Amino acid sequence: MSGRVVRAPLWQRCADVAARAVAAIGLGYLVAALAAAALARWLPAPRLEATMIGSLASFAIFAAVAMWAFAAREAWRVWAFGCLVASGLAVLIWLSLLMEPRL
Amino acid sequence: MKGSFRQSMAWLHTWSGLVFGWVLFAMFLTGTASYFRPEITRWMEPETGRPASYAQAAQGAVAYLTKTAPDAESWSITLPDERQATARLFWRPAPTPGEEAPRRRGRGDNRAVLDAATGEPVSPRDTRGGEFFYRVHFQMHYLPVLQGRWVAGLCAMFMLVAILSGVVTHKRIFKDFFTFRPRKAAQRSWLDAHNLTAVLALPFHLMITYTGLVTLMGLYMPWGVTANYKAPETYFEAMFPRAEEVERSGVAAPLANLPGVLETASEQWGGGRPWIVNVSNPGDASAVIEVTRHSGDQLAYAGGTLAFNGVTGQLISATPEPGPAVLTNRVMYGLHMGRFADPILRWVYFLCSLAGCAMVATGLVLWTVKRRAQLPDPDRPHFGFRLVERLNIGTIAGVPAGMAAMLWANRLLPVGMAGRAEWEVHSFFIAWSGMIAWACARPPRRAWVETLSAAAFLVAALPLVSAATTSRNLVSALLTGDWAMVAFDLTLLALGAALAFCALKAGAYRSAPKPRRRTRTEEAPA
Amino acid sequence: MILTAAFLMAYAGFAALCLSMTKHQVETVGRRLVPREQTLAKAGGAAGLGAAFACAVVAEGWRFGSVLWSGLIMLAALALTLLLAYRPRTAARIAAVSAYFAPLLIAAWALVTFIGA
Repeated sequence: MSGRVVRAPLWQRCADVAARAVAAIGLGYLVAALAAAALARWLPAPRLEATMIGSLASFAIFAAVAMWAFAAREAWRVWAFGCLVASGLAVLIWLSLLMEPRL
Repeated sequence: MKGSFRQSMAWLHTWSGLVFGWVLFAMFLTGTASYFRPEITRWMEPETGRPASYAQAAQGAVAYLTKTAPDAESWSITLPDERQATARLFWRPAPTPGEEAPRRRGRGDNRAVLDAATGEPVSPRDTRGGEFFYRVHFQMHYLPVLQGRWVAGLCAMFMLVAILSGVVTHKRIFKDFFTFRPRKAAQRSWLDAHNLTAVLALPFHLMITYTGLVTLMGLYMPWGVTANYKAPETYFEAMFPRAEEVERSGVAAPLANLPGVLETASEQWGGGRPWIVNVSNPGDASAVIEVTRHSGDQLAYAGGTLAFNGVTGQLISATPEPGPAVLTNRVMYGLHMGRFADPILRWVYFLCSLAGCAMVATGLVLWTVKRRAQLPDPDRPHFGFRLVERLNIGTIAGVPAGMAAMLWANRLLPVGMAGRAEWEVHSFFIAWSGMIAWACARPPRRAWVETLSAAAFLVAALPLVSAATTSRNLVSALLTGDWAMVAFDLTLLALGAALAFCALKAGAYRSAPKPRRRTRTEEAPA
Repeated sequence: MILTAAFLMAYAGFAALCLSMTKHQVETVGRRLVPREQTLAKAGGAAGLGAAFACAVVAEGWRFGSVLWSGLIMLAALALTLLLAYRPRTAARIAAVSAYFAPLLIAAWALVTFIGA
């Protein structure tokens, strides 16, 4: 589909697709799960409501990450930026747990 | 990926659609059938009678349970609605002193199925009924339940991705809104058909996919709950508040008149229907009757529960109104299930869902039609192409054939056979894999015609099979005014005719004069 | 009765919207529409879909009505597009008949409901 002029060798294209697919599924799930947890902790609403909003929104986040994993110019960017976002979310969750324990 | 955003999304749409397409087609079609789950169950249990009012069924259930299990710890009665012919009963026996009561529901020994009208126990043939199609559409089969649900979740997630990337890919959503050109070149008309079924029912497809994920959110995305609650039980108590359990007092007292209690409940709900009745400590002064509202009464699937004093019939408590986010969750659940009372709305759901099946099927066919033109030698396609082509034939014709085969097995397997229900299910998969094998053994164009014709025959002959083997048939249903069963037979005939029409179309493509034009895309299978 | 009216209104509404698009004009009515007619068709289409919504809400209430309306218009659009592919003239004629009969049905429904009761 891409690079109709110069095609990269087959193994390179396969590796690229594999890297993106794993990012879409694995990293996508990780980011969605962490986002659900972070929203559940940080949204200014009763706990049950916040939990619900975070969980309901998580599938949209998953889909967005999965699409971006295939839209980004280079596969490594997905991994780098995705891991950055994931660690940012993890820090947010950790901070909120320090401030207020779980029910 | 290199290239524009739209190109990369087109690639993603093509491949996520292809990889998950076959399972998605099976999920979509069995899910579509599940909108008529109670009717399918009624058809598959010809020993059961007709629907009756819930008050009548409740009276029968109480009479039966008072006789059979007067000392039970609790009774649970699932009342029939206007689509079901039976009340389903379950009771938990009182724990013998010194022995820990089993918390899990037992099998067989403390269950009963009662006729809705007479209250007499009925023993329908051993069958999973419509429940099988419902279960298989979100948890597969031959797999542990949780694994199956994860498979369904992955497929649904990529369905969502395929829908969104498809919207991005489609360049002319509004310009081509009403466009369908069946007489143009194969690739054009298949693309039109795919766009048509996808775009025009897009709100339904998006809704059903997203809400499908939401129905199993507790399994797929428990992390918000984990982040807020130490123990999942705390969350469940907040989410599904229940009346407190009361100790048995030991003082005997007769149970309040259940139909009267149900009447009060219905008034409380402004005419809503009761669905599940739970009686704890029946026959004791501490008895409590909990009545849960029918899940098809509102958009929100959970209609709330009222608790009544089991002796006086006084209302004790009601579940509190949920907050907006919880309500949203329940509405999403309800929208997916579509258990709404109105038959018109149910048919609208059914037709939109069929459009979804057509969208998946046309998408799968389009993959081969598009690539056939680019094959180096169209008479000898490479392995991948052949595999996709065969799986397409075997699945698009095979799943409906399999579903019909299951209904055939329901009528033809001996009633007393051991493992009968399981063999009905096996026949679904035997027929489906048989169709795939058939598609592999025959030249593709012949295979399309043959498998589709076989599926058409299996579906359309069902009313006859039923008439020959049981008392359920179109004439008697017409004479007794059993419109649900009349509609069932007519729907089978219509679906069979639709499959036969597809087979005819596929046959017409095959016999089209070959050499007139030199492009081979012209004669793709229909 | 009123739900039939809702479906007919949705069908006629989509047909009008379709008519406002240049590519479908010749096959359905045999000529190009002038800009003023196109604007009129667009407005008529929106009115048809709006009327269908009103009917669905009257019949089923806000909640179920909105769901039913979304479903009905999807099916109406599917029906119109399929008909358009094979019998474009018939599709247009049916739309005209629908637009004529739907208000009659609504009137009949109103008579039965308000005066008959």
